[in-house]
Amino acid sequence: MYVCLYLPPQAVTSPVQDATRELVHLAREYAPRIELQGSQLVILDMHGMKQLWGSPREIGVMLRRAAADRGFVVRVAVATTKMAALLATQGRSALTVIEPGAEVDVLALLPVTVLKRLAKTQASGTNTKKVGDEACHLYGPRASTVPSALALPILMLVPIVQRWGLKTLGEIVALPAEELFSRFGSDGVELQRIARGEDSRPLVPEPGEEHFEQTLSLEWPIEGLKPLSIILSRVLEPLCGQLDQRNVKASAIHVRLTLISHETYNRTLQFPVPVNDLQTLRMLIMLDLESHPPSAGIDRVTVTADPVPARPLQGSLFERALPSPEHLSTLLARLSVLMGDRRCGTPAVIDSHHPGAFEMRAFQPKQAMESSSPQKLVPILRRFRVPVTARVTLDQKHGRPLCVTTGQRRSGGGHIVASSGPWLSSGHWWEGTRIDQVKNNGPDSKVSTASEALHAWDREEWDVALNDGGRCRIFRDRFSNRWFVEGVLD
Amino acid sequence: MNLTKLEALLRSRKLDGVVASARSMPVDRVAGTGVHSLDKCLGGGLPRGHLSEIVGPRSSGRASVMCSVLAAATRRGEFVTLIDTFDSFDPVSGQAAGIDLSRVLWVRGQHVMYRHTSRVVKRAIKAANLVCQSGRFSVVVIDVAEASPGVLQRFPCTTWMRIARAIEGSTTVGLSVGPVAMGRSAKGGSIMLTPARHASHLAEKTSRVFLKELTFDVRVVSARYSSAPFRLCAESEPTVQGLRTTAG
Repeated sequence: MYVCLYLPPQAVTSPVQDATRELVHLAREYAPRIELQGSQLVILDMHGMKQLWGSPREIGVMLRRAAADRGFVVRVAVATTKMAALLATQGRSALTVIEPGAEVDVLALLPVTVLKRLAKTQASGTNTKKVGDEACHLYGPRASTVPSALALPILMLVPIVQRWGLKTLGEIVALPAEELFSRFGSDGVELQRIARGEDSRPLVPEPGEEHFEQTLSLEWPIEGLKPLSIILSRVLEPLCGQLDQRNVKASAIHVRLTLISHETYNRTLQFPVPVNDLQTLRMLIMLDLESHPPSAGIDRVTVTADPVPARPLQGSLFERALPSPEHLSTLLARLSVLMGDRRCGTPAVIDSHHPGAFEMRAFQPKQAMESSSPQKLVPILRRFRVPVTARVTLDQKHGRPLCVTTGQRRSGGGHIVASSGPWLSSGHWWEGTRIDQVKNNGPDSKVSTASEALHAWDREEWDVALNDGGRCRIFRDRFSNRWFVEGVLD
Repeated sequence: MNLTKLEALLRSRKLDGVVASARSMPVDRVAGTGVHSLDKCLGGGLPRGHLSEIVGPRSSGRASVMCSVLAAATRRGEFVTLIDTFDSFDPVSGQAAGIDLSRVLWVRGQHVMYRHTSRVVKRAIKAANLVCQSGRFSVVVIDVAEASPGVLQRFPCTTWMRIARAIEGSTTVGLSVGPVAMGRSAKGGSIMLTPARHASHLAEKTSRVFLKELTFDVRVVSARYSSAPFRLCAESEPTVQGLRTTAG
């Protein structure tokens, strides 16, 4: 026994996606096997549920009432075939119950136009692919991909039979099958089968709404991360199996630890690339918990995965292989634990004249072609992120630096044997904040260090060669009139 | 038993990892440095699967050669890692050297007081070990150039052997940059750099032009080979003072 729920367009007041979702939720409450045909038609397989829900009429009434409770007015048809139920919802309002064996008689009264209407309703789902994409998350990847019950060649026969003067499905059924076949071929016979309400294929159930979640309650609370590693393996193993079975990967993992203090400790890990590998997931969770350990013993461990479709990619024969995402994620997590947050990534030069301006971006390897442009050996500046304060003796006549002294070994110091400058550089002075600070507090104020000059700067740079062979870049901060060593040319 | 026979015997027993006689190696077993004269001395480039080193004092062109190696690798479409122990890498200079920054994994350490240097270097070595063990990168550079020789010499030689062992047999080039020789693989090379002393006369001539040249002497040392010193010049694009006066 099949039940068809049809939500007529005029009854839809909310967005189509929401209405479809509600319709599917309603159907799932009553039947485990449902098929979504378009965005407004759902077929429920109610075989073997008579004892649970009652007679066909009772089921129909119950479903109409449940839909009304949700604010929908749906048409319901109950029949032994899907096609009969589908056609009945298109041709009749309210509730239609077709007794077994009475399909042909009931459908015979319906007009031929119900075939067109049904095709249009079924097509509405395939046209609204976004509904399917949305549904992909909820109902699995096959939503809206079920082929339409009415194929296009059969639909094209409808105007012809209308031109013959046929008005009802009963009249199509009454046509001699041989004659119909001789004129239309197998499509004609198929049209007659549809008019009789016979199914051409079985129900294709939608994949169930799945929660990728695993929980393990512990008999004794655990302290520390070492035993947690074993527990995580036990939790993640079925979870990864579930992900693998559904051919999806986890784009994010939510770890929920119930502590002995009755608190819930939540951690969320977003991955740069989807992962479904047990070792990788366990390693990433452990590395995260090492950095952010829970405050008390753990009573229960719950891990939830956000699934995304797996996208297998075929490697190119002509390009260098990229590092595998799983290993890369683990490596970056390990490095982050070792070196600190935001200490690993890809440097990027930003569009600014500010000396040493750059930003860190996440390391995401991409394919690139080999470059054949010529390469040059250029001097590189080893930059001190915090410029080193220096004392500089100036030539009184020309204003050139003669000697640099710093308190640090790395920046060196000594007599200047060659110099080049001054190179004037300034920027963001219009923001005014730093200038005001210097003016208010005097040139030697504490705020006037170069490292704090994140925005406004005004400097006079010199490249100097020292008598010990070292080469430095020094600058005078014109706001504070102080000298600094910016880096060493190496 | 002559040398050739001995090497053949070692190869037959799969002990040729320690054979370091060949001056020119197959192209796929070396990674070019991007400097022709240096590649020539190294027998085509830095050997893959081995740890090499760049050694020299301050302003001796260590960073220039290091960036040249990284630039050459990224130009070949490879991914590289720079373990920047004291966080001194300047991305702007790196880009000027031709490095494709999007192919660089930059692991930043931090600059600390002298007494904590050992801790930071130790952490950087651990990071280098992790990256080398992953085997995902063609060039792994650990830059400890700003550490004092005393601190580096306190590390046992097994530290560097461990890194060498991690990349052995892979296609990764290990490269350490420091003020003193630390350790290299049997087949690895040492690029010894010293700043050229005579370059100071440039300043008087070019007082209104940015110091654009860095001249240094290079000597390549490997297990059975030591090249004669030759001079390299790292030269930046000529810059006119007016162009460097910026506003925002």
